[in-house]
Amino acid sequence: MEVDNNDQDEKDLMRNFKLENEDHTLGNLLTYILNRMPETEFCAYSIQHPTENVLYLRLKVKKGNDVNEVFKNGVIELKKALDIVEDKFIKAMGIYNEENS
Amino acid sequence: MKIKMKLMLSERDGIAKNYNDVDSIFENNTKNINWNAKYFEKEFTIKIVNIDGLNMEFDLININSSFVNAFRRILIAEVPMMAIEKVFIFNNTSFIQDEVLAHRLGLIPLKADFRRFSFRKSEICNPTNIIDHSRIRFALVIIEAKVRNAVDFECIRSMYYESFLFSNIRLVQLYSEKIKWIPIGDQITKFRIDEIGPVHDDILIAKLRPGHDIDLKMLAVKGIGKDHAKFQPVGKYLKLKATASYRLLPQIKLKQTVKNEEAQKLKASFSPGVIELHKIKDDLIAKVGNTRNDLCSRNIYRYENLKDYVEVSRVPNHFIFTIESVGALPPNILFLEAIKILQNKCKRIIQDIENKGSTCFL
Repeated sequence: MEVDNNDQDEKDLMRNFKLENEDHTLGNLLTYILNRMPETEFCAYSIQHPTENVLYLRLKVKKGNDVNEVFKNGVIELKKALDIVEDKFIKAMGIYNEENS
Repeated sequence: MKIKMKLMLSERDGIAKNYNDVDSIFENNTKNINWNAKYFEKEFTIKIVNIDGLNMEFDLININSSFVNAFRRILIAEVPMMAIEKVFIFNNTSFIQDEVLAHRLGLIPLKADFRRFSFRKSEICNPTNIIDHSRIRFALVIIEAKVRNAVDFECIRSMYYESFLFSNIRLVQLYSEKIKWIPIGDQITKFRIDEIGPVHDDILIAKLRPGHDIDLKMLAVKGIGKDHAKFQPVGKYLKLKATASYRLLPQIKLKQTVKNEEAQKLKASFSPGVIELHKIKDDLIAKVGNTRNDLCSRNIYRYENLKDYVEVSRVPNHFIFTIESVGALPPNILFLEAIKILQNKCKRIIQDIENKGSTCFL
């Protein structure tokens, strides 16, 4: 594990996450959610070269938080949101089928 | 707490002056409440508008575009589909070259439920070991097309010497209906005959002259649209304008009553059904009908006298999502599969963090 920051105090507050085989689909979604979490100071992603197929996500959190935890919570929150979308879609399909049968 | 939000469609500017505008309008509503799943559950609604065979339209309300765009991207590039990948040509004396024929065959949409197949493990180049591979993990389907146009020597003479080339007599047209599925391994017990085959029976593959012969075996595999467009489960060619797409709900407001000739002009400058004319006494009065149909052409700004009567805008958090399936699976199942793929991505990342996987950190 490498952390590209020498400042000991700030070391645990920021990190680059490397996600292999991911693209803007997940990058945009994750940065959207992480940017709206109260613990986040800064969050952005980049795909350094279109042929590389690797996503780098930079996350800096406010003091008193753990980067990994915040990142994990962001992904968990995203997973929850997707469950909600799935649930509501199935329900909406049920309503539509009832109305049109 | 409900703030009415809209994006103005003015005469000269684009939909928003810069990218952040869309977000900032949405932001006004959410800034104080930090985004979380609970808040999302309360606000977010789905309404299915229409399902018509392979086409589907539904509304996603109170959701951010990054979600909607993710669904669209996944539907196009990552939801799998079965398509012909290998073609073993035993004989082809038709006008179409082998490689062109193989390419054409690859693009024929197949009806086969991709959820019941697995991705192939390796490249298979020999028709003899197909069966061994599929017996374990029935990832493959063999399809055969064998057509022979009978040789008639007298006919050939007339064909080449009497400008017979340009007529359609004795020309056999090879359609996709000739593609027959041969089950491998235990597939015969798992699938009905009509479950696997081409979606359409009337796709022209080749035209055969007397004496021409096509004899081939094909192998279909599961793949994703990222790899090749033939694996894309959302449409490419049917009646809708797009494959999987979304747009914002248009909003039209009349600032004052518009009558008679002006009303007719107003009606003509929007898409059909958007402006309705009502006869009240002797006057025709324009009223806003179904704004959903509007394509936001901004034709109204051509008329100097009319452009101040209307306010054209879009609702920034109301997405109209359309899916057009190729025919392998109905569009509602494709959407659910797209969500599942995103969920699996999340699960993989969560697992990786918990296991302190090396791929996740830098």
